Amino acid sequence: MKTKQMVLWTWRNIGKVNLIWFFICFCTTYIIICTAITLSSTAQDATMNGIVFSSLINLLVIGIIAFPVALRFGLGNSVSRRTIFKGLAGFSLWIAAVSAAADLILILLFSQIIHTNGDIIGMLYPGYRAEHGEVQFYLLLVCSTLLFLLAFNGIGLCIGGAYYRMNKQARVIVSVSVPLVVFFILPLLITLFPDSFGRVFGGLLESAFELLSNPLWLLLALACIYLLSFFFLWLLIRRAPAERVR
Amino acid sequence: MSNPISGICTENLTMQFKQVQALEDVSVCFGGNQIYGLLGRNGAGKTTLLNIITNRMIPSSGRVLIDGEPAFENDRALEKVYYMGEKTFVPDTGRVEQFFNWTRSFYPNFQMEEANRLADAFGLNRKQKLKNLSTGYTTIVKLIAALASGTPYVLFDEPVLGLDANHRELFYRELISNYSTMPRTIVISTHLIEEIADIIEQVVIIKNGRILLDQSAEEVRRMGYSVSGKAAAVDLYCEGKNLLDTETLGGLKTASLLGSPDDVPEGLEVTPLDLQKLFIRLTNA
Amino acid sequence: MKINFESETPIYIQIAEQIEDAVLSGAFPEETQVPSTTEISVTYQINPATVLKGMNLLVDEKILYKKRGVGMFVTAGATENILRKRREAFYNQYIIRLLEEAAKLKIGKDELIQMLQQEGENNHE
Repeated sequence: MKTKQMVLWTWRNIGKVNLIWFFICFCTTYIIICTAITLSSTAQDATMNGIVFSSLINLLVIGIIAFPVALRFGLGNSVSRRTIFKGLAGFSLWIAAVSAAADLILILLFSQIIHTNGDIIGMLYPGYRAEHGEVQFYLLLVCSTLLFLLAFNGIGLCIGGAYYRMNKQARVIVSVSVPLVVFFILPLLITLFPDSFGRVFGGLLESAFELLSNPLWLLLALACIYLLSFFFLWLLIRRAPAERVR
Repeated sequence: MSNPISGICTENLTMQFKQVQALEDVSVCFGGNQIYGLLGRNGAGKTTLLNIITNRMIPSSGRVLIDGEPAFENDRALEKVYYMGEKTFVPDTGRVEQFFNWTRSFYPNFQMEEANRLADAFGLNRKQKLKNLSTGYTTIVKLIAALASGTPYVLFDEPVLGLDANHRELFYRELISNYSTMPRTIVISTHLIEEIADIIEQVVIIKNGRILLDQSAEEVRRMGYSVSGKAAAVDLYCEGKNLLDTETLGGLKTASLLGSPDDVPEGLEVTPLDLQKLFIRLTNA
Repeated sequence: MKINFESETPIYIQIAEQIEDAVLSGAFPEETQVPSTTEISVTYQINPATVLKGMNLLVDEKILYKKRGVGMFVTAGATENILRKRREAFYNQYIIRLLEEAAKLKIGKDELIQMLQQEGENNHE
């Protein structure tokens, strides 16, 4: 079936990239986190906080690359955009599952050697393990890892798709303005008007944290992000031309 | 084109880009297991038309039917058409044989033995990595995939671009041989009109996004003629006739006209207008 | 065999004529098989349908005949047939053109006959 072929081809052609990227991301994250926490006493946990995080970046990047590559290949082989979309969905599930499995195996292996706090989940919900026990903790770990990866892959695909559909001017504007806002303007505004920001964002963050204090809400939120991203992906792909917009 | 049920037919296709109207009300049919020549100047709209037919581009209005079914987003209809274009995506990972394997998984009637035979004929090493191929051989890989595709419709967009003379001739031979063994509808879009003039049965000319001409090659061959002789005599003869173009060399004038030569006076020489010359005259204006 | 793409004669007629020439010269003897449409179209890079049209023309004129599942053969007596046909065409094609060209070059009838006789003598020497 054509969908299966699309999944297979995308995996084969991006799969190799996947491994290299993962390695790069992992090493980079590891180095950064280790360097940052050298002074802190939680240096032991640095390793474990790197694996899933690197995978997230990995899947994000893979999503960004996969959109134009799969679209062009599919359209070039007389495949409809609907089937390409289904292929990307299948590919996303597959690669998230494989990455999650790899991550969890690595975490399990490492946890034999070093005391681990269970990566991102352990970081966000430090008390969970003690409170609900090992089994529930690992269940949460598996689900959250999978959903995190799916969400990030979905976001990556949307970013790749958005860039593909934008014309040159829009691309330039976005590439410049987004980092500018995030790294320059926002911090600038925050330092200039700490009170207003404190009120608005403090309030938001507080409610967010309250909501997410239950990990099940986090899972739900991630699932929503995943589904929303694929909804946007469909909107981006349904009338996409075979060549990037000039 | 008599049978409306089979064939690739476009209905009132229009394609508007931001500044440019690439296609305007294009209605044309390709079918009947004939070889079509799709001709047009640079930027006339040939590639846009082919892209829309194969679902690579979405038209501003109008639709495409393949064997009576709408082609838009229709996997079953689209797999009947193999499009070999300049921008046909050949990935840069893998080897030639893997490319053929992937093509087979998307085109159910792909003929692997034929692909292998053609690879040998063109001197292409199937184990070679795709990214190491020269431009010429990348084109050859795409050609072979098209010829061996086994689809009832094959569209070629500048198939021999970058090929040396030997490979060009080999392509035409293989094309005709392939077409003889397995009759299908073939559309060749090219600027090398002289090379394909006698291979095609039907001629479609696009000019500025509109269909200028859609007739059999035989009719087109009889469409025009040239008269040459003394300038005054030529001018006299051309009065009231469908004049396409004139050329003057000193006192000798040559006029290209549409229609059949009749009552050509003594002293004027009549020569036939071959497809390329006719095309140039028709699309110069 | 040579196809003249510049000529006014349609290609399928040229193909028919070339096959006839080959029959006359003995290259395609009577009751033997002639090359297939595929072979001819590939060799001269012409559309097979055009070649088929030319061959069908000869079938209609009883110069070739089709053997089911095998191919096209030269009919017995085809040579005679062709010669007869050609003689009839000879007058129109060559004689009249000769006279037209001679008129263009301002060569009179007597001069023409002289030329013919001279060439005839040269050939016999």
